[in-house]
Amino acid sequence: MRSVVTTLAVGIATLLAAGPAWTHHAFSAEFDANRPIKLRGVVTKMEWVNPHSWLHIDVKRTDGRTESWMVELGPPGALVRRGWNKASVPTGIELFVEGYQAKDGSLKANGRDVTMPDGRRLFVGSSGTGAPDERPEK
Amino acid sequence: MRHRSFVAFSASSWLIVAGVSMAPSCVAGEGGEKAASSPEAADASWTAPRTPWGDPDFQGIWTTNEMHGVPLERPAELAGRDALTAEEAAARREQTTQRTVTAEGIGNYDRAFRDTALGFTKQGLSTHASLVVDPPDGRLPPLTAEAQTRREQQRARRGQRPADWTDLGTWGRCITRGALTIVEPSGYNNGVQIVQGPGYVAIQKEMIHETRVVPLDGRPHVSSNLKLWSGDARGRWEGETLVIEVTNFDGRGPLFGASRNARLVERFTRLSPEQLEYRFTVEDPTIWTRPWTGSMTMSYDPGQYELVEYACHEANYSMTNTLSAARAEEKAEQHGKGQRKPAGR
Repeated sequence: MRSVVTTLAVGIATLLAAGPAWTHHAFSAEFDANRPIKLRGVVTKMEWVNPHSWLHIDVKRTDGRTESWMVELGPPGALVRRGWNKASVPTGIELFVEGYQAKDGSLKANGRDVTMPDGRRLFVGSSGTGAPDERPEK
Repeated sequence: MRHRSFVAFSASSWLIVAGVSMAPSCVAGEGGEKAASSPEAADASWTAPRTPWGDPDFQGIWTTNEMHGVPLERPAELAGRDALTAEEAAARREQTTQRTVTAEGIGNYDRAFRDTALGFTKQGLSTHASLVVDPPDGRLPPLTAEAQTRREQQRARRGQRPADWTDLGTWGRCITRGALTIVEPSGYNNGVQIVQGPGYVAIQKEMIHETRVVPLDGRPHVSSNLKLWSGDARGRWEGETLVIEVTNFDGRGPLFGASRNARLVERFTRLSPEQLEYRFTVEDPTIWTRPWTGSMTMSYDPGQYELVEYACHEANYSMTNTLSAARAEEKAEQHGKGQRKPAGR
């Protein structure tokens, strides 16, 4: 099935071919796959904005410094539909973030996985910080 | 034509998955009658309800969730087939969900951020092999010589870093994702809302919250001197089908590579209470040697889906991040610190 996916990628390229050389912001335009990061920090803010939500966490380094990181997540619409809202990610909770750092070296990262200290994943399932349960309706 | 419709239905009935119909085209172009291939449309007694003033009623919230993952053109491996099996369609959806634009799947957001990954929105799973249904091989027609030259020039530029925001495209700049009246399928925000009034149809697409308000009273298009991002639309009813013709494009709203000479003809037909078929024909003799037609289906989902505002310009850090990354890479190269990586696609 790899070829189907490859062709899908080609299809997308065809779709966008007539525009400028850059047609759509992409992960590798902003973030570096060779700079994986693992952060443990405390939430200071959650921005529910388009096109991407941004999670702000303060990370305490071993040398005592505190770094303020911004982590890019997906768009808020899907979470809104599942009952998550501004109150769902309270400030002060501790989270683990795995992702990839920005290419310009700033304290920004693309967040791939966001987990609670006990291993539960933040946005999957109803086991988050009290957010409403999923409402699957197939 | 009735006989051909029956044959098409029989041949395609095994392709039907979860209420989503495969709708192969029997007649190319926008003028021909459409073959009905879904079990609902095969019920000759069903027609769309009417608005109080007598037009077919398509109003409501629809989504193109089921189309996410369908490529524009039919892959070579599917030559001769216009549809996947249900299992192949499921596999294609899974791979579309897992991967982003990088081969390794790096940079993929949690599934929770994708409407199409968790099944919490009502949706089927299209088995279309491609969006393109005409030409019948599911591939775009050949380019004109002029377009081919331009395409090659663009390919040569691929890999160059964006110098400024004007290099980032209308999608990255949060202006528009495309000039079709309905939203092009994505992993999320595939909402469409149709509102009708006497003499008008208004169609809002969730991403990036554009609304087309289409007059149905037969008035002419605006002067050809006027060019618009999403073109100028005029509609009419042809029996059960809403036909929208769009002209006066300025070439900046993406339409699969079409130029400002494009003419777009869209046909909306409600196949069943729960499914709307959308066919679009793109004609641009400066780009393609003949017109071509794509097809999508949309599902009715008023019960739980609401369009949310997608004002993506509000926090478009991606633009600044992309430019900042490009400058950082250039600086690193100047100092000889790194290999020149191809600019990400």
